Amino acid sequence: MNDEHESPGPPDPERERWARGPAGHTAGRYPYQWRQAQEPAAPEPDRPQDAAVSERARWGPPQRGQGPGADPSGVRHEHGMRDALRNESAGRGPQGHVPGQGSGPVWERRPEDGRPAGENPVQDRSGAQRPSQEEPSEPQGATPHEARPEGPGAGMTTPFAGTDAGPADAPGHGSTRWGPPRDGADGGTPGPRPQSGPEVPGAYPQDAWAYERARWGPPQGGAVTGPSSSGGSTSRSDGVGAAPGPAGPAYGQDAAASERALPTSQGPGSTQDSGPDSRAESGAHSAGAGDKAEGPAGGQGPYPQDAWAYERARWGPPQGGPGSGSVPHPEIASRGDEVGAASGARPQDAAASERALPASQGPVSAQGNGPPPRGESTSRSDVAGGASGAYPREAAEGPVGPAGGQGPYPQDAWAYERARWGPPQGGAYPGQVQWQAQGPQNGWGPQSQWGNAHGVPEGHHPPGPREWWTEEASQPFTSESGRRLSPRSMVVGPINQLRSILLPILIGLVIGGFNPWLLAATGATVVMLLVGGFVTWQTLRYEITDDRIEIRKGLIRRERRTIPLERIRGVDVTSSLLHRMLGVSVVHIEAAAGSMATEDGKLDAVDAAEADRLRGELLRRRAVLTETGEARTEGDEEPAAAEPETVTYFEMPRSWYLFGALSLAHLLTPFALLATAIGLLQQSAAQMEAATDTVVGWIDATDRALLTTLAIGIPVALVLLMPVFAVVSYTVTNWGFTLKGREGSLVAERGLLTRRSVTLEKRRIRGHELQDNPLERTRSAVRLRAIVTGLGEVATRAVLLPTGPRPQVASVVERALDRYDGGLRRHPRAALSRRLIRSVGPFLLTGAVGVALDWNWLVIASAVMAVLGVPLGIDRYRSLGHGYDGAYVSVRSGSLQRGQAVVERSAVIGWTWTQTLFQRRSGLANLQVTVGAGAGGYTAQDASLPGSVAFAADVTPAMVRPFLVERGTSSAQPGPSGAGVSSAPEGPESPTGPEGPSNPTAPDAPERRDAHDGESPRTADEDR
Amino acid sequence: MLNSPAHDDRPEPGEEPREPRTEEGHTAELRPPLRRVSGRAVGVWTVRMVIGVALNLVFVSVVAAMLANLPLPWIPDWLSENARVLPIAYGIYGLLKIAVVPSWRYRVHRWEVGEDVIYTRAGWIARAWQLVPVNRIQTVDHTQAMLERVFDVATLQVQTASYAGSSTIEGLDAEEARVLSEELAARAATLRDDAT
Repeated sequence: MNDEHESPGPPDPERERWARGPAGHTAGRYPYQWRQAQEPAAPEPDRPQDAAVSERARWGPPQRGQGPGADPSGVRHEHGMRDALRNESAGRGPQGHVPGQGSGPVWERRPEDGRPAGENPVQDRSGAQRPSQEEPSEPQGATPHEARPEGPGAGMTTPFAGTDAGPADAPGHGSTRWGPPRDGADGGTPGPRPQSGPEVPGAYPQDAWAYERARWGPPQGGAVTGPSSSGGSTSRSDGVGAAPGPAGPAYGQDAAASERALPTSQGPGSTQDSGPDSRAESGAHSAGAGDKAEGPAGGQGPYPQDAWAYERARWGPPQGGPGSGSVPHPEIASRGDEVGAASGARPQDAAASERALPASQGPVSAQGNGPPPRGESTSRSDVAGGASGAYPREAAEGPVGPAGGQGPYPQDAWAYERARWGPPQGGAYPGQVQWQAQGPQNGWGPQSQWGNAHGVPEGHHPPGPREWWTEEASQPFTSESGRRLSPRSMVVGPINQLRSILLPILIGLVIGGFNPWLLAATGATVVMLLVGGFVTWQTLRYEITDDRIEIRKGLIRRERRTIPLERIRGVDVTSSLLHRMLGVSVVHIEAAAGSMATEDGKLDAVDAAEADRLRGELLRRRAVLTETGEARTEGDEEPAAAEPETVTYFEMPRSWYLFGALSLAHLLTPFALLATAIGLLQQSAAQMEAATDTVVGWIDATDRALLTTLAIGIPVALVLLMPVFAVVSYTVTNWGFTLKGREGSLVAERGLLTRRSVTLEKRRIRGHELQDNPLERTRSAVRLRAIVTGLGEVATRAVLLPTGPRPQVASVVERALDRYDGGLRRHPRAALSRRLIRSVGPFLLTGAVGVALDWNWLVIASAVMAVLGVPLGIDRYRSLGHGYDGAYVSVRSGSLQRGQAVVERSAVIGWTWTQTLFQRRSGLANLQVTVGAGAGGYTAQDASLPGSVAFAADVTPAMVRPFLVERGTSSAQPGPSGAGVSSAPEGPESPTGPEGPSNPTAPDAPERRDAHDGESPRTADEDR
Repeated sequence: MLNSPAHDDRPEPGEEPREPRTEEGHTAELRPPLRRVSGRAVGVWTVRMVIGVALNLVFVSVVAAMLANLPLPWIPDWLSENARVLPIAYGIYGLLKIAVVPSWRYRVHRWEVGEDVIYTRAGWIARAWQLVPVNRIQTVDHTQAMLERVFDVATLQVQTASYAGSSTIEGLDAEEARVLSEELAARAATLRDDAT
């Protein structure tokens, strides 16, 4: 990268120092060195003009209008070189500032007008004035002027076209044209700031400094180290070693410090406020001068030279040298922030731009030293200066080289950056666009420099190409480079696959008599499975970036599944017995509501610890993302140190395993097993003729009595053992059931052989359901399930608690969810007859059919069922009910499988009433409350129609009230309503009444019709 | 097998009545929706019904023929002899249905799109009233089957996050259905927050 740069030019101590680069780069690697080769070294540190320039640099480009350092003389430069020249000739500073008139350092014109680089035109012009001038203009001493050093570019023409005085920094900030270093073009175009190589963007050096200064404000409390400090800094911009080395005084560092602050955003954010502090610390700045670069609190002080200084400060002295490590300057960070990802001031800019380039560079590490592995070019790329943090992150005190990157950086930083990354993509270092785009109207504030002209959305940066595999150390969430599955997945996968085909294979082998062909085929299959497992292990990578998780797999057909973190609905960690034996787990990432397996992410067999970490990480990031809405927040917000607080709501007591005996499904387990066994036998009986014959022979030979006993005894034994089987199978399924609350989710874990852990976000839980069957009701036990949006088919995921006594379950509900306080309103008595008819009627019918057909067995069976149906119907009626307690709507129904659904009011979508003919006669209707969760709708069967309408109006008045018949306003129009007529708005017997006049498309006065029904409020049918 | 908790709609004597959200005895009534579907929908329903009855008639005739002619032992004699009654009875029933049901439906089917809510009523013997809020709408479809195209009517279907909360309006005038679906879609997009 730096190869294109020649060997260093004239030796310069500073340069030498920088030559080593932050990590001890060897000379010749930095652009500045190249520059030095091209341009003579800048004049010495204490250049009066430099001071001015530094001031200019400090205050940034003069903006239209009066910048802080506006030239009191009011001379403004609009644009261009000619102004600069004019000014020059007039002995004024580039911005029209008249030397000696105080304020404002004078710009030095960049060498592009032919002067030797580094030569100070001002000096040339009116040397006499300058020196004097610069004193006053030195606000605090040294002006970081090294802008002089030629910086980037010969092209440094007048720093800014046109804008005016930079920040009015007290004295020396006359009209300085600050502009970002341009690439030699007219001042208007902020060229890429630190520019790599020759093209150096225009006037960075001085301008850079000035800009920086402007941006960052005067060095805090300290003298601005003038150019000297910038010594390094000068070169900063283009790396040209012009900057006189020496200790730059404070200013440089200040800039540096400020620069250092930049990356704040990158990392766990140092708060902006720390800027000044860091600046203060930047004392250690390479230049060594006590720089108090004070960064503007948030201020972006004069940058240009400072940039170098900053860099230096940031990176620390060239390795081995003194220098403060880079302390992230918060302001700098803020700078970048505005630019979107680009945080940090210049360094980023440089870095950013640099980084933008590099996509191709590959892992930063390859870069070697220099800006710390920006690796993640995340922000880098397109965002101009999207620099993100990676840039010389603060941190290291002292030289730390690029790895960690803080070495003596400043000039090098820029140079390095430039060298490394080339010109900022998109042509602008952060802030450059700013200068053009923003004039004085944006104020001089440093921040304004880096405003959002780039239009980069804050906080997000397009991922750079290298993101996938590089470690982004500066991100608030580190990007995990591609991780692999556990090596044991090589074994687990094939074993699982083998299991399914093992039985047929074995049978085939046995039956086939161990045919060598079969054996070979079996062996080949096993080998292929193992190879497949190996390939999967090798090729599957998963990675969590700051806003998504990526799973890449496949060897021949590659597949990459990307799941945005915000879309993750839940993360399940499951481990079957086999997995647990090997200590691995399966992580299942559910990406969308009711998604099918093809849309989810599944990592088969990662280490158990890794699975837990992954789950925690995903959920935590997702929580942060959804809360803050951006990928990076305060970088330093420590994602949950360790484990987020976990509340245990429930742990399975031993006695609860016995409730398995009450569950109908588990009770039938032995019969299910029996059926499976019989099925297997049947399938293999054909092959095992010998065995069958033996069995048949044995049956024939045995005593009848014994056979009968066995035939009766075995089923009876099975029936008696049903509870035992039930408890055993229930225990296996629900072993160690725990319900915990963690990070806004409920986590339910259970299972003995297969440990299943289900995470349900609380914000998706819209209610709960309590289910029981008649057996459980004898012990007053219920089962708790959650009503969750978007679970789709996977209803078993919603199980929150195993079967348990009602009081305990209620207490868990109260703690984990919300309790339902209201009662349940009874349904009218007419519902009882309906329920009875429905439970008994069909059997009466079949009995009648049996009688008609003379099938006694049918008659008997029907009679039995009809008799049983009576209490069933009564029970069904008694379970009917609905209610509302102000926050939750509850509906209950059913007997054999009774369920009470409690749904929060906000989850109610709408209402549906259905009424059959018979219901119309009784004034009943089925009210269904439609919910966007769970089963979609819960029906209150056979509720009184007027009562249910009133109920709905209570729950959602805005929806229902507009459609209610107004009481008392309808004329007393006696309709053909008899006592038995239902309260339906319109009965079939009055079809043509009110509707007659209405034509199909004209709305009619609604109240006219059915007035008869609406006249007197009907009392609830419960009274009947 | 007792249901618990017991219904507590009536407070114990002497006990303060629990604050019911809806008082007992509070009733209300829904007025029917205002708008009617297009008159041509009667034609659609009639034709559909004719086709349906004809198909069923064929099926019933086949069954009757089987009952009459197949010598299966479990068929009683009276059934075999009178099997031809079945198609005739069904035919009469079908004719009655065709005559009565479409216009009955036309009277019952109503719809209304209010500011925020879609209110529909549908059915003939069994009726259904449905309220669907516009801000929960996720999909708006308007479709035309072949028969509907002949009569220039269309069906508007509105879907929400809940399958049960989806509403269908049959027999709308085609142009009206199109306008309505566009308007609903636009409104739903602006009003909608989280449609679950």
